Amino acid sequence: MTTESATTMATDAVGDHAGHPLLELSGLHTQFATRDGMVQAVHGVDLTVPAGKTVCIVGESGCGKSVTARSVLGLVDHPGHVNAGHVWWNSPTLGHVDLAAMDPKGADIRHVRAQEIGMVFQEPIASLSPMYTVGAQLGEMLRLHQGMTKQQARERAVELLTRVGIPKAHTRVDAYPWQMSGGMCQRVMIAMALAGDPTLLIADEPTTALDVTIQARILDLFRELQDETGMSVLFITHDLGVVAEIADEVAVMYLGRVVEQGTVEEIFENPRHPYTRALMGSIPTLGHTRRSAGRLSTIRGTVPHGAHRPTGCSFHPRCDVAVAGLCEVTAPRTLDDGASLIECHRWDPEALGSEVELGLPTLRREATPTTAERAHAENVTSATGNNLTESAPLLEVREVSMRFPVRSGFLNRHRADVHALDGVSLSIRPGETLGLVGESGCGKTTLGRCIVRAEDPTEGQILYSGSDDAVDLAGLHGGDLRSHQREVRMIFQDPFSSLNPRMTLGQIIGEPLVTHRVATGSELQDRVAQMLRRVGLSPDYMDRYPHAFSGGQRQRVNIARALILEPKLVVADEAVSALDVSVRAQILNLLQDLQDELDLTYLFISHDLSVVQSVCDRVAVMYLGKVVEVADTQQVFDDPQHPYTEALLSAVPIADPARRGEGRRIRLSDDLPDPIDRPAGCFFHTRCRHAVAGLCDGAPPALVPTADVVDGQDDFGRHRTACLRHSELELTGIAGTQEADR
Amino acid sequence: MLTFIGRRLLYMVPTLILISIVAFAIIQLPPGDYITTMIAQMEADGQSMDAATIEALRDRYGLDQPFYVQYWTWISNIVFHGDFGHSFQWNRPVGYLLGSTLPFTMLLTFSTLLFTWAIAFPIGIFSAVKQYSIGDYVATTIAFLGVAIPNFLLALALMYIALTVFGQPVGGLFSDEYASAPWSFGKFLDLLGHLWIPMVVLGTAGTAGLVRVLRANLLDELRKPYVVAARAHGLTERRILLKYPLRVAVNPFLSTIGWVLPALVSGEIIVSQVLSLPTTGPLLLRALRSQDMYLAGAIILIVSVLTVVGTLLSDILLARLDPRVRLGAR
Repeated sequence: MTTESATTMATDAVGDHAGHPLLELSGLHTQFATRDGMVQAVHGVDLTVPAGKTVCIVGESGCGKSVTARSVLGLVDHPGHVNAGHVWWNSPTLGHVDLAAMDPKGADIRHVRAQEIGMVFQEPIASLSPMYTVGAQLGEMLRLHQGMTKQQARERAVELLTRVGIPKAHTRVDAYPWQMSGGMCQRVMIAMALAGDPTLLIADEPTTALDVTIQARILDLFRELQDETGMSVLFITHDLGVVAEIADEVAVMYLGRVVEQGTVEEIFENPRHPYTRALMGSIPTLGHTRRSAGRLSTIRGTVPHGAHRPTGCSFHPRCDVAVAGLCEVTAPRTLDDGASLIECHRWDPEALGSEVELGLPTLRREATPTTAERAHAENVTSATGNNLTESAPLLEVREVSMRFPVRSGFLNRHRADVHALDGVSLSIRPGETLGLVGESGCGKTTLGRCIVRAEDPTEGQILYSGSDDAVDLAGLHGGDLRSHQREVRMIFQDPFSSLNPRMTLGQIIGEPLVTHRVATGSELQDRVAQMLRRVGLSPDYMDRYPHAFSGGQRQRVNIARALILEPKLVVADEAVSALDVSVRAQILNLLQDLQDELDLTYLFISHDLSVVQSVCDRVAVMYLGKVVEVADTQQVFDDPQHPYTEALLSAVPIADPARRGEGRRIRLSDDLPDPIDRPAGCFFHTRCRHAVAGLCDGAPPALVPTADVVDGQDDFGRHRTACLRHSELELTGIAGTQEADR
Repeated sequence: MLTFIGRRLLYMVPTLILISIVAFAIIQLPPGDYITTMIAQMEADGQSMDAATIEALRDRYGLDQPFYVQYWTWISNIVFHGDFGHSFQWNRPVGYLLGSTLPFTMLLTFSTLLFTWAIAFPIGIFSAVKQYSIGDYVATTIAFLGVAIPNFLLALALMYIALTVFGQPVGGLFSDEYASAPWSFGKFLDLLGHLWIPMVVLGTAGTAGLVRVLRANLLDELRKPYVVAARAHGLTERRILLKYPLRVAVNPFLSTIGWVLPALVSGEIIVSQVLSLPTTGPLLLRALRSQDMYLAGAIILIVSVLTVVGTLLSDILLARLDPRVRLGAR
């Protein structure tokens, strides 16, 4: 096997490789052969990972982060390959070796993959084979690489699973990946990466597909493991909050190059590259509600395709401070002072003429609200104060339940129910944005689907008061339903799969007009063109197909399709979750503009609390099919009255490295209760740190108004919570922690 | 697992009853019956039959009874006495006729299935792993040719080759000297010598189809994240391929059992005619042409039952091999 040849080589190699960093990429180029010619996905990356440190690579999708990570281990899939540069690896057994020069199918690189560099991927469930138990897959590696017997491998597998925090590891070892949650599978992947005691762990967006609560625990795990083993971590992410939580050093990538690199403190306190600054500006940070902050700043356009790399500085078409005649002509050189690195003409005294001042002014993080924004904020404030108190809610959900039957056994009999929604009551006032948050599986999407009647609720009423008297949407059928469906529309999550690839934009957006017999012929064309313009797309795109557009543009098409029938209520189901930060900011701004122009009411479903805080007037928190807390956004975030809300808030990573390790996080266990067999009493008591035996596992709590009353607030807007102990608990929101940095 | 099989067996009962009714209805569908065909034949030969004889014949065979009575007589005899009725044309019990052809049909079917798998499996894997290589293009081209060339044409070509190159007398499953001889080692070798032509002819189309299916499935699986993950864990390419994606991609192979069985029993009619094989195909063709209803009914019924049994077999195998099927992944 590999190990033998490796160890013999090691004896004479070990001595002379001290002094080299653990991993050093130099001039790395990875290209892909495509129909448009060669695309240089990684275009000369220099990066070092020192021993025992965590280096984060950040950037939008399409910037070459993942390809860089995969290039290290020779895992770039055909038709891509590393075409230049070196990956110097300070191997404990092989000495100072260039991984890029190794045969990607050879024994040496396999030895490095098995024993020295572990890797964790973005989609944990898909990264495990569905055909074998996790124990079998983990055990296979141990048997092959460590020469263990079947029995030893199994015992070691249980140990490893326990070490990565999997409860009941001795039974979980026999579970199949698809029987486990995403968080559990990611722990298994980490256990597999740790099996060979690696000195470097490469993690490619390991928490992107997970809930915030799970993400927080996985990040903890990385930190703990690093403390225990002293291994280095190369962490790929697009989430600056995560970077602030775990990074020692940060490399910002744009179009295949590292454009800025430095310690995490430097990058966050004084970002120098315009791209880094733009990324920082476009994240909605906790603590800024829509009333206080207003518009998010955005980056113009999107990352260009690798085949159309702009001349000069590749960021110049999107850069606000580009110097005409310089940035689009010559590529900036790398300014490396040893500790930090930047590639920007604005910081290069030699390139910059005397008429432009060197450097950029210190970044101000607060955005100024636009006029429209202020107008809206005033609108809503006055609405909560007075105007809307009299106006009836636009939509009132009353005691809606949704159960999906589970069938099993010999005759496939109805055995149990999955309780997706359990007596949910909610109201949405005209003109407001109600946020719906909770972990995945809490029923928020099901509720949205019931409201647009894509799903028929098992029981309860959905009262909609559009132009005339309240109508129960839950009881409507046929033509009546169709006419109300014109007024309640949905924006879907995935911009890639929710558009039919065989229809042109014109057909996609115009389809509701046709099916509801609203417009035909040239009137239809006109309305589609007008709608395209409204969502910021050119009417010329009408005859083109969705594949020609980026994720952000497709989401604009999705929005156009939802709005073409001039609805009153729009259900936005994770409408920005699949988008990059900069594009997400553009879409959020668009949604706000459209709300002001068209008097829309939004039900905004999202798992991202910072987004919800920046766009919603009120927030409802769901857990296991029930609403556990509902109140004004400010109240929910500053003064949560349910321990679950508190835990959710504390799990959100904050984009400020100075605040790391304050121990403010409340950790929820990964084990969500089974929605078929739910706990007695308060559903949350199994994970709640404030639960009291004999009380919380007794009678289920009702959603009741809390004691605190805000001036001018009517009964409708009262802060409500479903916690039996809320009056005696002192729960922390983000207000206390936010003030620290003011 | 036992619950699964038990439930599937229970589901089979109504399916089989329905199939038998449909099978019987189908052979009743063409206008007239065996007697009409017989009269027409006799008239063509210049003979005639008086009305009383015709009536007597109809009465004797129960052909004037209503549909459900005829069906019940037929099916109850099959189920309770194993009696498939009497073939008008051959003037022999249907059971006897089937007994002389079914074993050979089964033999041919299974050897063809094995042949198909033995060829399709390696070629499918090869052309998926080496996608767009010259070997892939060659295999793909041959596969398409295999689908496109009519089986009987291939049969004729192979017969010609067998005759001119190997000097082998063609047609049938046995040479003349063994045709009515008792079983011996010589007869067995003779059978093998004849079997390869129908096996290759019948196998090509199926092989070609399976190569395409396996290639497409394996290509999908090879792009799954777990393959990259397995590679990142330092496993060898060979082990990754054989243990991970192939295990998933092999599912359609098992599903083929369900439809390969009946297709081979009933689908080789033309080939069997050309090669004059003693299988059920030509028997069914003749029975249908002369409206020999009990013989035709029995064959259709057996083919249908084989379909159901084949599907059950492949489902059980699938559940055995794929935990997602067995444990019901959501």
